[in-house]
Amino acid sequence: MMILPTEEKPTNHLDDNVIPLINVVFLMLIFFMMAGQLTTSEQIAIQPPQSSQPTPMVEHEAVLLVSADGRMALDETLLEADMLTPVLQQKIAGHPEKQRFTLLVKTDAMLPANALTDVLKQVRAAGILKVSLATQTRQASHD
Amino acid sequence: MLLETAQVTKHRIISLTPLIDVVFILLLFFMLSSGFTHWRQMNITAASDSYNLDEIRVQYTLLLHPTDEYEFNNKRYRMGNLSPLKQLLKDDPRGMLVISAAEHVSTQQLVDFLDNLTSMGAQHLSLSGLAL
Repeated sequence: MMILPTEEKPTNHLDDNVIPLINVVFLMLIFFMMAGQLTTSEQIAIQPPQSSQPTPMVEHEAVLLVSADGRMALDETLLEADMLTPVLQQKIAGHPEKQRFTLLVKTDAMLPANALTDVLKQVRAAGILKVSLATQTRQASHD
Repeated sequence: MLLETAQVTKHRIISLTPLIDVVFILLLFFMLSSGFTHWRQMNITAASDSYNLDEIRVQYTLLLHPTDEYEFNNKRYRMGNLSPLKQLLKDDPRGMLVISAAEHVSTQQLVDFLDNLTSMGAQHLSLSGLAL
């Protein structure tokens, strides 16, 4: 019996080899969309301290960034350390309920604790009663 | 005479290249703008706002050292050894723990210590005069 060559169908196989690539890219896209949170880049890069505190972060009226070397930025504006109290006083002066003004302090984990205490004292001197320290969820150690 | 012939179905070939372009751009956007930090917050409320200071009678000073040790009653203890403080709070539940940090103690060490104290059940904490 003689096998005759069959006629090949003129199908388009050009895109077939990119389909696995598209699958992977789609999966990565879905992962980043679902797992990540859109964030704005901050004036000062900080690595926050890790904590097992369960309190989730809420919105604050102002955010103070303090880097490991003591540089500060209040709501994306760089400021000198001695200007913190007057700038905060100006900020709460325009707030309708001064007692409810909340400040979030984002510090670097390597900032000396005494420097943090000094910053908090300046914040307190400005009359702000509700202050929160930003932390990140403690990662399980694999030691 | 015109004969009605069967219509030849013409398959439209859709190129995937523009789709891949768009998906790649979206992927790049989300990769660059997404953050994976799970933020939490530790409340540092003013003493007058958090609890009645009249309830607190005695303040106990703890000095934190950079060697993961704390000093209490002129004795040094490892950071994980909270048994003296547990006993203290058992004897005096209204006592306030005033934490001060020595030189070179990082914020991370301070937060770790505060976490330990909170999980131990300490309620009246103060950071060198700032109530927590």
